[in-house]
Amino acid sequence: MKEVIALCDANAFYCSCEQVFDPSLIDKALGVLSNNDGCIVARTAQLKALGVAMGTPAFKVMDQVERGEIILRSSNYALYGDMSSRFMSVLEQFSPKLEVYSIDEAFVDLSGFPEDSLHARGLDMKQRVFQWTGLPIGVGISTTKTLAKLANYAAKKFPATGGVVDLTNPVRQQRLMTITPVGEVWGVGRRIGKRLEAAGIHTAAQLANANRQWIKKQFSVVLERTVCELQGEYCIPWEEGGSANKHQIMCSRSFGHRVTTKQELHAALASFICRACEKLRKQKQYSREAILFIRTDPFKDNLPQTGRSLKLMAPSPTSDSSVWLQQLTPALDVLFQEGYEYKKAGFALMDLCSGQGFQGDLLAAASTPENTRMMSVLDAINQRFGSQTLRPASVGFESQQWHMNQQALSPCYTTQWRDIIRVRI
Amino acid sequence: MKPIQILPQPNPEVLPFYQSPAACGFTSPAADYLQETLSLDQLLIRHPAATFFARAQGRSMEGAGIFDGDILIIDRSLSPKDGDVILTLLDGELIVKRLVYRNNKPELHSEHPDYPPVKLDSEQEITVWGVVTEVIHHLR
Repeated sequence: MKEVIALCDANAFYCSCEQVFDPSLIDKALGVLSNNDGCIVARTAQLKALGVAMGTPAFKVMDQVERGEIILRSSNYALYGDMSSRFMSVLEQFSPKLEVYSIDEAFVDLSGFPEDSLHARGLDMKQRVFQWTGLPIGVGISTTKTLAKLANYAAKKFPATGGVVDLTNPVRQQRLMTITPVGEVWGVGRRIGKRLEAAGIHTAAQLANANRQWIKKQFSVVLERTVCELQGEYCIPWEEGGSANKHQIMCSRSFGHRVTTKQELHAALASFICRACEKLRKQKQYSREAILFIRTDPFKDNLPQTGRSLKLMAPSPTSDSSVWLQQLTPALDVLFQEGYEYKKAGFALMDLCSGQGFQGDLLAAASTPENTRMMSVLDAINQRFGSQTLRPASVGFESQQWHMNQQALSPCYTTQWRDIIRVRI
Repeated sequence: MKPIQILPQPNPEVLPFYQSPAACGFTSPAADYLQETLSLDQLLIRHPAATFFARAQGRSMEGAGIFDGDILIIDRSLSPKDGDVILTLLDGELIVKRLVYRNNKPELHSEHPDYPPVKLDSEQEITVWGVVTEVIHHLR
């Protein structure tokens, strides 16, 4: 049976999430900033029209913000994460096979549906996601992932498509590829794009017709696979359970200001450990291996640079944060060096496993039932009263200086009772 | 960055303490009849992915049983019908009104003697954000 794949992705996802709950932002030049309010990472069409590029640092548009021409928001990941899972669960209604590719896009398997019904099905998906969540999306449908991506590109690029493009027909594939710059093809980055251009390959169609052996030799097997996919040959397989299926959980942050003391790093890392283990418990998973790292700001090359990491082990797979917190002080004694300005730190849980099937250490007293219960009470309290209401003393009592800059954070409309939308009656 | 390995120091003087009780005697006769406890989510929320909460501010819908400070449960997946209480986007603001069709034309009604129906221009379309399905009213 021929594969049919739809790639659905949300338009300016972060901006759209903000607009769903704050209608005053609709039709405005709105941008959402990266962690620490650094650069613009999501833009509405109106902001793009002002010529503001992706990645523009916030300070460069401050004049326009003050004049009210541009609105900026800090990134609100609690909101975006919740809206993302709503988006994905609506898509699941259309197919049992779904691959969550990122926070705002997913591949949906539409194999087996009559060919002449695909476009209508795409419109249905778009309409239902919008009705249920308020998020506008684009849908690209074709026979390989790379072609589905290309169809999605066309759905966004050409408004006349209404945001849905069925690209299962080879004649239409050819026609679109002839007018698509090679740099827009999925898997062709800016660097490879430049090299292809230099070799005389400017369009997707030219890449599709390139000699596979030559591509493999000059570039890589990966790019050869892209060529096959453009020719309609299905090569990039489904990642069951989604590519976002967690093999590791990482909590890391760039600090709002340079951190120079061990105490501050300790507080930050302790809170990352708590967050990571909380996520782990939510996924009902366990881990016995973790990595801690701290590093300076590589862009400040006038300052001394360092970056160190350390692997930690637990006696048996656990989701109990105290197992890692106990190891934090000795670990920082190894990692920390005086005289550096630290910019970023992180904690990652590796090699996750689910509850069943792991062999506990007979002699280890790691997670007693009592500890497991304490952790679930901790999670329940923090869910109810806000993240980090109850936290180990190692996270610290003082106002957390290492925290992110979030000058323009919207309320957590969907995850905190105190933040739900207020409506006039 | 090459990770170095630290292993927690096993303390030879500490022996593991197993907290789970050793089971003796008969199991509870009620064990076979245990059911899940009642869930308000199950009662009040039909489409979790499309359900949102809002806090009501104002008095114009008291006749519909919505009071200032109440929590509204809104289901976006439902298509609004004549007589539904809806959350609607009007002049850039989210407001709650009852949707009423008169001569095939939609009107937005308040439910309080002091508040007249919302005046709509003849061409003005109603943008429905979602249908209000439940009200949570606090008594103390």
